[in-house]
Amino acid sequence: MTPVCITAATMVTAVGAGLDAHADALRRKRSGLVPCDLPGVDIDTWIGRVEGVDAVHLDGSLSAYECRNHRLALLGLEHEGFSDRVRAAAARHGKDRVGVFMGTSTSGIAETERAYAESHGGALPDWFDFRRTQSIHALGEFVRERFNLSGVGHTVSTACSSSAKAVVAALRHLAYGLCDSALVGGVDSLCLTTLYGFHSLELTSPEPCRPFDAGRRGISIGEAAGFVLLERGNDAGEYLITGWGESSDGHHMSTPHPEGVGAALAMRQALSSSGLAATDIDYVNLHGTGTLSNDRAEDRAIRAVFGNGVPCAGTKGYTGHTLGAAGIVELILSMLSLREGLVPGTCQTRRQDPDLGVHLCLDPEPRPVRHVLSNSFGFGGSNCSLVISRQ
Amino acid sequence: MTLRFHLLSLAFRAPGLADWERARPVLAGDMAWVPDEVLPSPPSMLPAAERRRTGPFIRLALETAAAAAREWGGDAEDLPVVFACYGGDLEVVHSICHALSLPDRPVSPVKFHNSVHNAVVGYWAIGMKSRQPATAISAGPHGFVNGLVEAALQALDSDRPVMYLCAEYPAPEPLAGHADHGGAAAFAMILATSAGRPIMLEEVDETHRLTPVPPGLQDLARLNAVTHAVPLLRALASPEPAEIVMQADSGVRWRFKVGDR
Repeated sequence: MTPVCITAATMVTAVGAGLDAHADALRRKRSGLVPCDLPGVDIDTWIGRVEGVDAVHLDGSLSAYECRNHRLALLGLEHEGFSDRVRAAAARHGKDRVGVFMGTSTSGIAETERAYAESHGGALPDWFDFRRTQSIHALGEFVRERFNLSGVGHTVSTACSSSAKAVVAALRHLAYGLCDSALVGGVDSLCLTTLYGFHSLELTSPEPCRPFDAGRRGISIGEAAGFVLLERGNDAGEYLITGWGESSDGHHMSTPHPEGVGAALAMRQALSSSGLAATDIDYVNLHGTGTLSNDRAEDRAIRAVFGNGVPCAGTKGYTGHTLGAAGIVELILSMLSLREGLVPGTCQTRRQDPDLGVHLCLDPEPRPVRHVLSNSFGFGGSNCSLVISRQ
Repeated sequence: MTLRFHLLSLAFRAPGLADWERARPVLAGDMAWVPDEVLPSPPSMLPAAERRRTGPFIRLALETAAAAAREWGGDAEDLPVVFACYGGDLEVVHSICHALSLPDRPVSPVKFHNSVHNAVVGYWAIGMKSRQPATAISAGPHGFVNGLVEAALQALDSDRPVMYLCAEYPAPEPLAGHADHGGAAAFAMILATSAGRPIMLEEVDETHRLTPVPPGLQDLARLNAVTHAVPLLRALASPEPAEIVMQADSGVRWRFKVGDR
């Protein structure tokens, strides 16, 4: 496939803001998870909440998009000089030649929740703006509005693989010359829908999530905004997206295929499109949610593709499961792994489940890393694997 | 930029237009559009337990996808699927947000897993026992073309047939007045790099006029993100070659050159 470089990246998660904060957390194995203290939420669980979201102001034309998801998005865009890099790309290529590909699972549904709470069973309040908050593409419209971009693009919403698949959509549009640069992001914010929804499925952990641990008890929901700027060619930057794979499980809406057959297919396709052998991958960033069935299926899938040798670690014990943002957040964490020469430790996990046979790294291991494969799997049996490489 | 692909089969359903054969004379202007209620059937492709969990939105989308696959006649489990929808399953959104406004917040686990935007393609993959990639996107109320572009890219990139599916369903009260689209409609097409009716999709600038909708079809075209594609549907309903211009969400204009059938 045509090589595509990551020429800029930024993110905010519960761990902190910007790339250095995340690199530091990976080195020190520092988690951002806290007990859930959201007003009015009576679920015994831990969450990954981003600091400073409430203080963000959406001014001017952005004010019509007022909701937590877009405040979080704007906060993410303000770090790493990222917004200037987007403006420079628009100036260089033209505002109609920068594609915008976003990923989110619940967009601004917290506004709809608030509108229903105010309505007491009657009409929804006048302030409620479906298109600019609740609708899936509200995020895409918001980001376009922020940078006055008018090129191709759309918003992907495939649950927890959303922003990984947004990356793949951008790669396709770049490869066929529909844009010269692509702004790709994932944003999901804490809301009652996901907290009570995952709770109804008995998937929220009463303690910080412990991916691949023998005593794992479910997920910790997090929120995050992550963005990368992609450009064609391999001379634009040091970090390349070299492979991608997508598949479906065709098994169940909320439980993965028990042997991870779909997940293995996505990983194999990612390897094949990158031209790399399984032995070339230095580290697999696990989807690793911390539920019994997800981790077991992913373990089986990785062993089917890689055997037991490849170092693996999960990062949701740092950030929480950031759902639709997880794909891009973990792509950027994988980039930091390449940058720092570090295989992260699996934060919060104390003892690997003896039933899970992958080579799990519990503590950070400094070593040269050239190729990372990152997994994102979601409800509906939606699987996506990305390979990121350092030149 | 130009994308060339071929149409292998299609299916369409909208109020008063129960299938493509019944829609064609209306789109051609030979018959008046008389809307009525769309009542999709439970999807026979799903096992009984899964079937019961589907609401009208998922049923309409699956029914239309299945009709396009039937007309094509190939192995539907081999088709990657691109699903585009602006509003989402608003009956599910309503159910969850209503439950969250009650004291004990009794969110239904089935409603929650049906609330993901990719629920339709998840059920499709379960029904077809398919491991093919499936995506679900939104590009706002004018996102029909954005989804078609993604589907065309997937067909070109993989060099094999791809299903494009677009569906909308009206919101229940009290969401209805806020969701700025109404009416149920679904469109599915199977496209490939060869062997069917040729379509060329080309990005054009703003000097190219958008193809107008005839007065008798304007109410249909205004219904939702699916029926905004009336200009393309009219071109496909006719056996003659046609050239039309439609707008994608971002304002990008696309010219379709539809070859003869």
